Amino acid sequence: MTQQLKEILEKLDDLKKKFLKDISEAKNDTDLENIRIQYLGRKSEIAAFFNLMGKIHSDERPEMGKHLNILKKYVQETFDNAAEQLKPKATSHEFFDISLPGIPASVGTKHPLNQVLDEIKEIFASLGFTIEDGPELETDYYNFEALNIPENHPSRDLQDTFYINEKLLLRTHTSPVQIRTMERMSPPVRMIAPGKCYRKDAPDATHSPVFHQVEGLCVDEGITFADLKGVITAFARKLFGANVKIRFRPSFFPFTEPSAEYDFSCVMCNGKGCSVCKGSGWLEISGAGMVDPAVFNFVGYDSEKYTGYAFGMGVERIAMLKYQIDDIRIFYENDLRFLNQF
Amino acid sequence: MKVTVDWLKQYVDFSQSPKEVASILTMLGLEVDSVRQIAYEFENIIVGEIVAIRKHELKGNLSICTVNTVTETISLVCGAPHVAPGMKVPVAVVGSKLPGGITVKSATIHGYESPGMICSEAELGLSRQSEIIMVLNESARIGQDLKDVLNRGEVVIEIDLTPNRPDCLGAIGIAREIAAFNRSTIKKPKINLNETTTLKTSDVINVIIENPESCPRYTARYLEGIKISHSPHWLIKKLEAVGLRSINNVVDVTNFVMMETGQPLHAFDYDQLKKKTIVVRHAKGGETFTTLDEKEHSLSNQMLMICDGEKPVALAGVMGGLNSEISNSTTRVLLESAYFTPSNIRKTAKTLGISSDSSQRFERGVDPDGLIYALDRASQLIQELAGGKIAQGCIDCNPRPFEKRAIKLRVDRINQLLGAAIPVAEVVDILERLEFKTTANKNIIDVQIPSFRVDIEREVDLIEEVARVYGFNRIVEKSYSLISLSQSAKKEERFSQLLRNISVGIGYNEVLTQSLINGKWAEKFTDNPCVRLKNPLSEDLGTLRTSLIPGMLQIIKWNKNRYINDQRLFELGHIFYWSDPNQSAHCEEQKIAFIRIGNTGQINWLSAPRASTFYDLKGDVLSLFEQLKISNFQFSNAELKFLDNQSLELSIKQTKAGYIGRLTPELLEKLDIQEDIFVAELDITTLFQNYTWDKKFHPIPRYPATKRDISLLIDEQIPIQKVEEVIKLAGNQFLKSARLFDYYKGKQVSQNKKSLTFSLIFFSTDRTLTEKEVDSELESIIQSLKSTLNAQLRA
Ligand SMILES: [Zn+2]
Repeated sequence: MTQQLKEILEKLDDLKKKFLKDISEAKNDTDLENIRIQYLGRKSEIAAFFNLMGKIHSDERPEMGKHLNILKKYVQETFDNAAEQLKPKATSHEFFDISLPGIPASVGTKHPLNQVLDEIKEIFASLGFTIEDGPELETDYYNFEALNIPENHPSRDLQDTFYINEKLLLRTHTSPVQIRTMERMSPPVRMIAPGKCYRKDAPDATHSPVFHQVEGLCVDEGITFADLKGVITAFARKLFGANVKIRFRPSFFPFTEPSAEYDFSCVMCNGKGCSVCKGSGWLEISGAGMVDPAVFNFVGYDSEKYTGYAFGMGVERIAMLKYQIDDIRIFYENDLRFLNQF
Repeated sequence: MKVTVDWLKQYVDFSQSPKEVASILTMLGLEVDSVRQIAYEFENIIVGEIVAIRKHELKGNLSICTVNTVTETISLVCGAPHVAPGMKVPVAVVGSKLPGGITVKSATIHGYESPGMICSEAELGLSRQSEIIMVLNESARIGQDLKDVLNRGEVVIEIDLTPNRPDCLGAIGIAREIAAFNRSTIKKPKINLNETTTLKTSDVINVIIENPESCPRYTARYLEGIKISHSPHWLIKKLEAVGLRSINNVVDVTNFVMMETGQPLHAFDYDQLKKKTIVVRHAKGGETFTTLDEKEHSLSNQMLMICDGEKPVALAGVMGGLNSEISNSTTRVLLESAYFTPSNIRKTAKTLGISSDSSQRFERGVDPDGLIYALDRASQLIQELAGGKIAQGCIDCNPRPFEKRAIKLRVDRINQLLGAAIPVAEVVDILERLEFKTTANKNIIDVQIPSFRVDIEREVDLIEEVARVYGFNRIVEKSYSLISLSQSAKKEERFSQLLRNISVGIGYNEVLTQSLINGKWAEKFTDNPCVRLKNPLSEDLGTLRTSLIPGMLQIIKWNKNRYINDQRLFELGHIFYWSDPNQSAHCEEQKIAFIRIGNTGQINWLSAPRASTFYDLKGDVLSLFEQLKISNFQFSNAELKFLDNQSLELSIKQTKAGYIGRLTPELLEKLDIQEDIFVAELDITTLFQNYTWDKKFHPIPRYPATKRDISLLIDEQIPIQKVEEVIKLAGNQFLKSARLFDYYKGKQVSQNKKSLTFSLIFFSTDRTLTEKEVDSELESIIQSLKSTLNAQLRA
């Protein structure tokens, strides 16, 4: 390398340092414009160096050209960045009121009961249960007979029924779906049946002639009462949290034997006793039990080989506990001020 | 079923508090509804002794009693006829408090100053009927507070008994459960009958059972020389505590023994029986009978009657007859204790609409071996309270004896069903405590079922007995672990979820309405016969909905009444109708309905609100279809009686899928709503069938599209659908879409014409189209519009 090129390269380096100092001190458009003219304009120092190219030895021209181009590109980019930084943020200085209300899009809501039902379905789906359905207008056979509730039996009194005629009625529970499902498939069966049910109860704060129930059924070899307790416990904890306790009490349902009622520890007071649980610390949820062999006989399952459990739950009851609602009728009023809360 | 703690203590010793007993019973499966202490509603009533009596000079039916209350001797005016010197009576003095917040003052009665009163049970709120002065026991101390004389605060336990436990429809049965829990034994009251030797029951009455299938066993006793009167205080108190009315000493005893043993008894006035033969038979069609509540019933064939050889005297197991009831003049009594077949009694009670304490017990099944005990217990008590003689021996007509029941119980099966490990010894112990007799042979137990446990018929019933006494809460739950690969929700269920998600997304609130509606409204929305309830709660809830709309209109109304005018609602649910006029086949269909009223969007400062139109709802429904990727639908004008001319019917592949439209002015008037209401109802099953689950990717066009706008002038009467069809047919090569973006009718165009502007998009999947290609296709579209629709091109 000749002395001449060496000197030029040193000068380029000085020029770069000077540029960096100038650009870092640029405060406004005027400063920028001066810098642009000084370093990037046609009469700039960099342009002067390009003009110098012809005056050096031809062997060294490429080397010098390379350095010059790198410097020019560097200066250009640095300048552009700095200019971008200094640009005013808004093009207009007009007053813009960000506090004016946004224009709302219309979005609806799902009914709170269905939201709870969705949650229940999701929990049981995650526990491996299928979701089944059946008609609301049922026959006496599916609603009663096949569930071991014969005619002229006092257990019919447990449910006040709306009849259409001798054979047709409005289902009083979703249990008929148990029978319909077992008729359709052989064990193992693990299903829930959510849906509307009807009982001849005059509407009041805790009764509605139309209500929703989820029925569950699990049949296989080796299914036990301990499994039933396990699934109810799993459900309760998923719905109300890990601290909820479960209690089973003996009861009677024609289609289960043994039969039980199950209670959750009160979710309001954690079992200490409050007005919701009437001081008992427990909330009655619903019934459950081991499928009665008579029911298996109706659907042609071998009751020695297979055992199973069934359980039910009232969706309104659970929704009332979840949302702390004390009057069931509000679900069916569908007041938009109510619906929009969920 | 109600029982008092004192009553239970007669049959079993226990040290637990009433609350603890309630909890024990609940955990044994006898769910206690309430534990209630009977509170006295009086204050400062003291025991006084009548020392002298004289007649009121003016009013002969009044007497002036001189009463000693230790602190004073006072003269009180009294209206009761049976007062006598030496009687101990409750006395209210000046300042005493009576039920209903009454404070006793000194009163002048027909010239006599009475500084207080002698009280009857009714006045003290102790019973409802007895207007007679209450006479206290000899042992009451003069001057003592009445509350200390009476058993302070009897505690009533109310049990919500399940229908499988008739053995607990008597206090002894409940005591037996407590004894089983406490490992003690019950003490049944000892029978000590004082029968006369001069008279045999079989000489005065004969029993013939004509229908043993309905009455397998009938027992009876005869008493004479008895005196009907009111019951003693202890008996009235017991009956009233459990919700029964006191009638007279004989009837009260039969009720008392029923509440004690669970066995209903019936007392006949023997002198009213025409022939001295009891015939138990089914009624003959057309017979009528008047029960003791003075109601006449017409009887049908299967109803079981108790007859006196000439006429019916009781509706067996349900209610006695007016013609043979115990009256004040009755001296001779025939007492019945029988077993009637549950299903027969239930049928009769249901058919006649009578539910008595007696029928409730018979229809659940009484203890067939308990008849004589109850009969003897009642006979003894009647004699103790009403005197008389008990004839020797009892009638026991038992044409169908009950077999002893024995069941084999496999202990392995218990544990297999419960998921527990209960040892044989504990199973035996539990059963023995419940009065089952057991013989264990290794893991198999032979169990003899006591006669009162009519609910135990199978091995599984015994397993339940073991489980409930062992305690459900001692069975350790199995932790739930499962990995499921199955698709839990059926496609139908997932489709419904999709519909709901889209509906919420396009701005609708989901509602849930009653599926029972007023029949008049149900009819307005269908041409099919409506499904009506045979036994509705009310006319408004008497018919199954034929459409989701009527129920939703009630919601619209409800919210409008609360000044919420802009509403968009949707609901998913079932609708019902008879699919044939004979009502032998019905349809239950799943629908989704939309309804909107009021303005589009919320009021805001940027754009003025606009009233919703038919096209808004149509657009909503089409958005739903677009989301569902269902495009093969057609519209036709709807002819539905509840919609006006702004309405369409929608079909997919020739199947009707629903409608969109505006409600008729008549309906709006009925609803008293002045604004337009737009409704749509779609059949979910039809939509489901046309939904594609397996979606496939379509390549995104790689070459740019070309856009052309055309403005047309056409006849006003030509529907847009027709224009679109012509455009699509002619643009068969490159045209991808034609969207109407301007529509005009009015002064700017000639009459009977309308102006339409479509935006047409052309592209090809394999190359960029040339201007020439596009223009040529556009030209054929224009030609086609001109020739088929007589359209004019606008500049
Ligand atoms: Zn609580």
